[in-house]
Amino acid sequence: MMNDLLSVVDWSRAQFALTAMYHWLFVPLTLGLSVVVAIMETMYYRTGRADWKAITKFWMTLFGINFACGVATGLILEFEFGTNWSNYSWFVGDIFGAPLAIEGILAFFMEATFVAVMFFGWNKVSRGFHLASTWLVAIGVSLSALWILVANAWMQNPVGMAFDPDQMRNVMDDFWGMAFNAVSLNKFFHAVASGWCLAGVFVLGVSCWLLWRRSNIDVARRSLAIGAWVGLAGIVATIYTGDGSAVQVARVQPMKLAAMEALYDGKVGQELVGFGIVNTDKRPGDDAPALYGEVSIPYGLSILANHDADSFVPGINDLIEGIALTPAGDTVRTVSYAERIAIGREAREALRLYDVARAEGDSAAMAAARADFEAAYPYFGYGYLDSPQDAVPPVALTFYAFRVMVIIGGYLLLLFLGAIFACTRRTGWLEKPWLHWVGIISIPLVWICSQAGWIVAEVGRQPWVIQDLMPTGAAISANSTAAVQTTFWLFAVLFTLLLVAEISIMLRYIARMSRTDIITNPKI
Amino acid sequence: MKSVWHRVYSMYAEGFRSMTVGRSLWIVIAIKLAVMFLVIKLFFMPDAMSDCTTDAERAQAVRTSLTTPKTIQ
Repeated sequence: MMNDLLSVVDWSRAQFALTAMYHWLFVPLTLGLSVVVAIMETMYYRTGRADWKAITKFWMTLFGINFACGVATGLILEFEFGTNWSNYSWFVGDIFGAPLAIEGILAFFMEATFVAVMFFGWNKVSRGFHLASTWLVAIGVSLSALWILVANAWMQNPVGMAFDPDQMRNVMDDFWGMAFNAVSLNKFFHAVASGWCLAGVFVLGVSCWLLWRRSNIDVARRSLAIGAWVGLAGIVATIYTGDGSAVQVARVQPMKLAAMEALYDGKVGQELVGFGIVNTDKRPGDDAPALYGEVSIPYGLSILANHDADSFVPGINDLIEGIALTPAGDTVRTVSYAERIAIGREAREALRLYDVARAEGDSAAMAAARADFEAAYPYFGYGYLDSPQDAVPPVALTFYAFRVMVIIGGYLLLLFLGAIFACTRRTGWLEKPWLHWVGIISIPLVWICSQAGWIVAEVGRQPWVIQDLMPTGAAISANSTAAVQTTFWLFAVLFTLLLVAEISIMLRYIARMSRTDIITNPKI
Repeated sequence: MKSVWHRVYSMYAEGFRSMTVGRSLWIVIAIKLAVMFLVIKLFFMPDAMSDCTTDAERAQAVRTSLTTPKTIQ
């Protein structure tokens, strides 16, 4: 029975990861390419030159292909909430539902309306109105992302609500506190900026391919310059907001930060691991080394987490013992994880007693049970864990994903700077095949970087589906393993077909356009 | 002078008629939505609490599930 339950949890996790990661292949390109297209159309609006219009339409078509293949892939995630995560869906109440509803309304009315003007409105509406529509699409997709990320951020930092045991769900009591806290804002800007960065690489890479083919040189050069500038703005903003995220994670999800570093025993002036091989046999509390072949940057993690080289950063063992950072960055001893598990079990028992008292109509017992429950609620989720070690996320995956994200991110910063240097100071480089291949090879790299970021955020927060309140295992529905396995493979096939369709339509379109003069092609 | 509605209609009609890549995309969208809503949602993704007809029943189902002893990660 327990094995089947564990298996359902793992398959449900795998299924959600699969669908979310496929969805995240499309989303960042939509976020970034909409801005690239809007900038290109702005150039057309300001100059009135037909070549800018043709360039805009070329990239707008690629935006459309991605938009069409990506649209509604997120719906599968919403189906999964109802099918696989029914406890979670009910427990989060309107806190999760409200942002998703706002997102749906915005996406439907704003994006759907103005996307039509964007694609069909050439020569039908004024240039100014068309440009405004294109920018409104770009703003609309970012606003959609905002509400999704608000919902996601709440799961990582549940604030602005109170739990109602009668309704068995969290009830929002501070919308602005829930929607616009530091965690949600950092998450939003980090995700949107990473989308700009991804689209910058995509535009740069496709432009490099055109240059390598010696096709549409002028289109490619101008596109490459815009892609590089958008990408540079994106990567700088991503690094800046990533720094903000690290500070937030150190306070709100310190276990995630410790897992990102495979840090078991923290210290003052903690170094940042540049590279190392994780000892997967290491367990909290034992004496085994956490890393082999470690290369570290002195004081790096203390600076990253607290902006103070001499500050303390707790490791996994410290956190289990109850040592943590306050919002101000001070080190304090709080409740140990063993105590949290005991308190969480008390909360669950109080909830059960509340239910019994309610059925018996015993208002005094209800009030007493409710008071006990509310006092213990902050650690409610720990009551579902067997031991403190269960609160540790998969260290190796989080550790490696973080390094992949940071290393490729650093490479992308150099790539954009190099591309801008080539466009402004060394235009001869734009004819060099090595530059073309660097650009082309960077396209898959930026997607790997983006996916690695998702893994850090979502695997690093395990076992929590809602931080401290609900572990993933308590969130699932009473499904059979076979049912979840079936839909897992169904989605794997469906999303792979969609991805193949998108890539093949895109490649065919780019190849077809490369055989024509894009600027004079009337069918663009 | 054509009405606004007529202009909107003609924008969509001419837009759809003059699509090139868009035809393939509409096929992709149509197949995707059909598979999602007519196959996946209907046959593979039922609402786990569809037996509950009221919010009180749903709350009770979740309460029972969350207060039944089980310790899993």
